Amino acid sequence: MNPSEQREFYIGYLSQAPRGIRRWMRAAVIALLSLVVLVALWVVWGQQKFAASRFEFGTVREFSGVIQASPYPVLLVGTGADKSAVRYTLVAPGKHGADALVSPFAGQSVRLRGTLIYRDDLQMIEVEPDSLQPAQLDGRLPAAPETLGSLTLFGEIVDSKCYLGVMNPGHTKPHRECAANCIRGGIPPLFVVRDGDGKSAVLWLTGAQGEGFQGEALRQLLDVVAEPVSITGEVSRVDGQLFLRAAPASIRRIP
Amino acid sequence: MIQPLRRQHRFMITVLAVILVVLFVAGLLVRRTIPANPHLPEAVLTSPSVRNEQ
Amino acid sequence: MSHTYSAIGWNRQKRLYDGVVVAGVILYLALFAGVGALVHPNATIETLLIRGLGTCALLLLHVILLIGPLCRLQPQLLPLLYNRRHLGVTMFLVALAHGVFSLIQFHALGDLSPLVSLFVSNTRYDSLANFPFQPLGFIALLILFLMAATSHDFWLANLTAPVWKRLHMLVYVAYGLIVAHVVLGVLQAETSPWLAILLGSGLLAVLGLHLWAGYRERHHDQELAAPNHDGWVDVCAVKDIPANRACIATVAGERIAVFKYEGKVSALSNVCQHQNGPLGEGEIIDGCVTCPWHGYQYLPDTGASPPPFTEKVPTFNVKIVNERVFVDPCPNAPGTRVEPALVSNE
Repeated sequence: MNPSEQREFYIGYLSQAPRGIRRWMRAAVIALLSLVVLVALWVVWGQQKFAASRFEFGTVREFSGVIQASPYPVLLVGTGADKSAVRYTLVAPGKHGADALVSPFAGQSVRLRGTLIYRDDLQMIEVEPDSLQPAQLDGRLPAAPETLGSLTLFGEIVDSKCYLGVMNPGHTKPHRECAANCIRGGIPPLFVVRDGDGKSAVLWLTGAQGEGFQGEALRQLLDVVAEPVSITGEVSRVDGQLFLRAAPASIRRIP
Repeated sequence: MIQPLRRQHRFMITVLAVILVVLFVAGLLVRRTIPANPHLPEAVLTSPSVRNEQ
Repeated sequence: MSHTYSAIGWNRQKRLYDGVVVAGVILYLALFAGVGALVHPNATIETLLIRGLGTCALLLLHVILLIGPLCRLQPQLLPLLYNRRHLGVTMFLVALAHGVFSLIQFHALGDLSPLVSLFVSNTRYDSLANFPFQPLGFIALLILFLMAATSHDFWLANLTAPVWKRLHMLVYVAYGLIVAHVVLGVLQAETSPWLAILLGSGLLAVLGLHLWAGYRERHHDQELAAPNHDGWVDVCAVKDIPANRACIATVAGERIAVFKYEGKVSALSNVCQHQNGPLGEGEIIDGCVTCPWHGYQYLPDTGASPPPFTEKVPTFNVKIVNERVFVDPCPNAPGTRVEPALVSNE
């Protein structure tokens, strides 16, 4: 230590800091605020693109159509003379499926209120629980499935409600716990697959007999959500939407 | 007095330095993206719900 | 210094400090959410909030951890240390908001209670890539809560500084858990190299500066030569001590500060009773040894704070022989008056 060295001494409870230390502090504050700006913008630009999915939170619409209760609750809305129907998959508020809400109306025409959720051509309604009412409508029966054969596909299992728009992003590791909660609560699972050219497709995932997942099958499914998996099963198409029937044992982690 | 604290502090920083560097590198190395399907069948690709992500 | 406790002993410097901290947090969140919504119009406000609050807390934690070693390396930065506890409490509040929003978003409104869901919705403890990262953040938040709750001088005085400092060293455990939470969480999905580079730089800065500052300190802790035949230790030459300042030496395993002032030399423990700051790096101001960290003061000959304050540190017997300062390595009870050694030619 050099005895002749002059130095300034900061005492926090004195109202004024020494001049040199004030200069250091001005520089430190400018540096820190610059760091704040740099890091905020860095992280904003470092994030991946967000999918164009929507949850019309706060906008309640009225719908009418025919309820199909299984494997997953759907409202089939006829489109005039056209034979095809628009399929709205139905879910309840929160992390709950709509099975209990729609079961008294299976196969019947209804009116209901709910909030739209959509991504690409897939549409979903979060149903207001007390809004289902029987209605006299030109009922439209579900189209017959078109079988596309047995396939082995690579992809990720997600819950449809978040993936289609309630959360964004509604897939991958950070969303895993939420996907497990949603699927446990009865939200239908989706299987998201991509090809080498960046095209993606989603398939509604059911058990081998086209049923929803319950009990041990559900437990096995929850164990692999949001992980890379391969699934071997029967692919079919109904009203333009893809379905994959697979036994839980055919769902395998990709090591 | 202060020396036991200083020793603990030194020990903690050293252990943390080793563990965190290993964890950081390992965490980045185990990252996996969901593999793409080399050849999605035409029937799947022509469904209306298929979207081009790029 | 205070001898009674109030919620916060406000002063101008603390107000300036807190003003900058609050402005920084608001600036970060506004930029993140505002620019984020413009750059990513499809992002939901919940996602922007969760990510904004999480990264803001992480940035604050890095700043908090960098202040210590930076002040060792550059003492002009000591004002950053003066009110660091408010920065810590702010960081806890921002992290808490991140945690609560995430708990609601990912775990509420389901079949399980959110806190149960947090621990059972992902059980892949066998896999690094799929490891449940959310409980890591939760445990870190508990540690930060414990630290924020005990940050007041009331706890510091009642737990005593060594216990309080041990408790607050848990910040390194929390930092480790949070880095693991980020690396095994969002970085598994957000694969941009820029994000990994950013966290890696923070990690390197925190660990590198701590190791560097520690390396620079090591000579302070090297024991001086053993006491001579009558038990006194040759500490330094009188001329090596700057006026109104101290020379620090390690004697019998502890650091001692030897101050020179008004033609006298006194030796006392280097460890401030308040938060164990380095008294020997302080100065004699108004006749009192003044700690560089928070300005606690002690009379150099007694090691006791001037009334009405009650802090006391151990003193050491001191003598000057042939222009060299000798210290008896046996400490006196805190607050014991020791006759200062007189400097002959000053």
